[in-house]
Amino acid sequence: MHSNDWLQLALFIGLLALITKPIGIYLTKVLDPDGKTWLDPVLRPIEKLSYRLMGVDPAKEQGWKSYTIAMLVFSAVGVLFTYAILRLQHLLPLNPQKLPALSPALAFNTAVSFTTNTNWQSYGGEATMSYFSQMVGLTIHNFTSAAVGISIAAALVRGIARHSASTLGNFWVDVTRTTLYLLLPVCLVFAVFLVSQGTIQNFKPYETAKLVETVNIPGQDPVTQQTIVQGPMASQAAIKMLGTNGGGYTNANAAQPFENPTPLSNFIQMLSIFAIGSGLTWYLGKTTKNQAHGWAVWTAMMLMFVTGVLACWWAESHGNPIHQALGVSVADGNMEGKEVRFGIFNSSLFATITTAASCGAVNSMHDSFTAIGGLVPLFMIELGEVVIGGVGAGLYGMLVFVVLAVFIAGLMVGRSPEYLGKKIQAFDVKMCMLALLVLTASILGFTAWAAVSAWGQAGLNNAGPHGFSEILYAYSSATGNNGSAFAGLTATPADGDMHYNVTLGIAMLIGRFLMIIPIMALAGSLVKKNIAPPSAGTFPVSGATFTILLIGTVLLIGALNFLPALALGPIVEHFLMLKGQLF
Amino acid sequence: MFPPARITMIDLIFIAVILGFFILGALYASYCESL
Repeated sequence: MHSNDWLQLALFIGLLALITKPIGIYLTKVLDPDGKTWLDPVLRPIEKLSYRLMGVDPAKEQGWKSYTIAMLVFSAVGVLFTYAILRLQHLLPLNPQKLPALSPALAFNTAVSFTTNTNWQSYGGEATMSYFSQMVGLTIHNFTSAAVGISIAAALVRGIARHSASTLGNFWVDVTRTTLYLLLPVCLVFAVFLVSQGTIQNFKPYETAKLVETVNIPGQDPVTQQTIVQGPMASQAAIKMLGTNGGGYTNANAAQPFENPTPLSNFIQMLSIFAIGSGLTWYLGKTTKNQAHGWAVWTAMMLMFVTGVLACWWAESHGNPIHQALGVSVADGNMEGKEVRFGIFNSSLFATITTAASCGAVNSMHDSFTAIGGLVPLFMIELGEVVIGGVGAGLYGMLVFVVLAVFIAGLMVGRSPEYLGKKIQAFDVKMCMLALLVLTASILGFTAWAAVSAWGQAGLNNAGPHGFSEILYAYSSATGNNGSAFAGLTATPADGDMHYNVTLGIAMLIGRFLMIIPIMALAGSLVKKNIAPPSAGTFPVSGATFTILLIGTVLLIGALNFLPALALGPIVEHFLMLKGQLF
Repeated sequence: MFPPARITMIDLIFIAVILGFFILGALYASYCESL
């Protein structure tokens, strides 16, 4: 734990705090249909043309149900579109490697994965996807799924801010404006920046290089040459970070030097994962006319984030005592599965960021972390990815916890719970609980099924508690729409077994849409309510008391739901490691 | 790596699962409203 690393952590948090307000101001303009941006002269005609082509009246707002149905229709078409592209890949253009079509189960898993902003990848990108599939089938979802998340968050914030109303905005307008004014221009600049750092962007066939030294593998032909991947990487890497998608162009994701070439590209990629989610907390404060509330939510997120980073960094720095008994220096920590260019701190920081947000891009292999080091990203996902979280998804998830925190505070002081002047009633709490319980049911239910099934155990690379952690991580990642993996788990086995791909796909659908629907119902309930003026008994939603209560609510629900499962996985693995046993 | 694609019964099942899920989602919204 060197001073340089502490300095970088301080720089990361300081820069994030600095960009939160400017991004929040820009988001406020983008999410206002009449908002003016400096891009209007170029993009306003395209925006108007888009509405005309879609047959949308941008002035007509929708109630929560119409907004939700529009989102469901949009997403269903997106899944089917990508499923068709992946199944017809061999017939489509931009496929110089002549890659075949994906199997039905893998196409289902991948189409659902990218539509739900999960980007779980049961395949290696460079060996499976043509350039056309990468750009049209997958990257397009990196934009639209991020825009959907931001739109849902905006609808919920409007529901909180408006009173005695019935509409939450127009889904098509929100998605169009978010994509046009925010994601596309920022990603254009970001992609050019990545190219300046060395990320490649081309349509060339893969290169072949002769190895300096022949590699001999027992039972196989000697390996004399290496295939070097090419393709349009920078454009995908930019949106995969900014949109918290996470799906790597290559199997090694952000550990691959073409995707993440320099320390600067690594730092900016990490910052970009948090950028929009952080700005949305400022948007919350601005829209609800309570900026202190927005910053209190941001502070709660940051305190949980820093705790996670420190725990992961500490565990990886201290390494594995069994390795140390074999002569590995204590000072080296746990370097297994880590890119030497990034080392322990930047791997730990990246792992915590990518799981606190629902990104899922990785620059190290989480499966190779120590038991406690691996527990941190797993627990971050299981908290609901509300620590900044996915773009939009982090904010609407955190607002569910805010409503619950206010409800609990109201019960404790014996007053009717109120949130920003609105009474929190039985219906609102029911919707919050439906949104949270469906995640728990999916993660624990699917994990239990896989853990006791032959197909579930067949996909594992490790036995014992580490094997269990691989399953738990997979369903946590899928349900939480994260996409990272304890990559020892094989979801697409050579024998064609479909169980993992199908169940993970269903978990992703549940985690995305069965959470959003009750949250939209909550927004529809809140928007109708009157705002009561604050009184002496009003619980403040800013300041230290609220921040601590919010953190307590998030941790309590996360711990209560998942502690028994974590005890069977990383916690018992840690104690067994101290006793000299590895898995 | 994977067999060449042709429209199979499994494709139809997956398409039905996708459409079915989103139709159930719309029904779930009505259920939430009724609570």
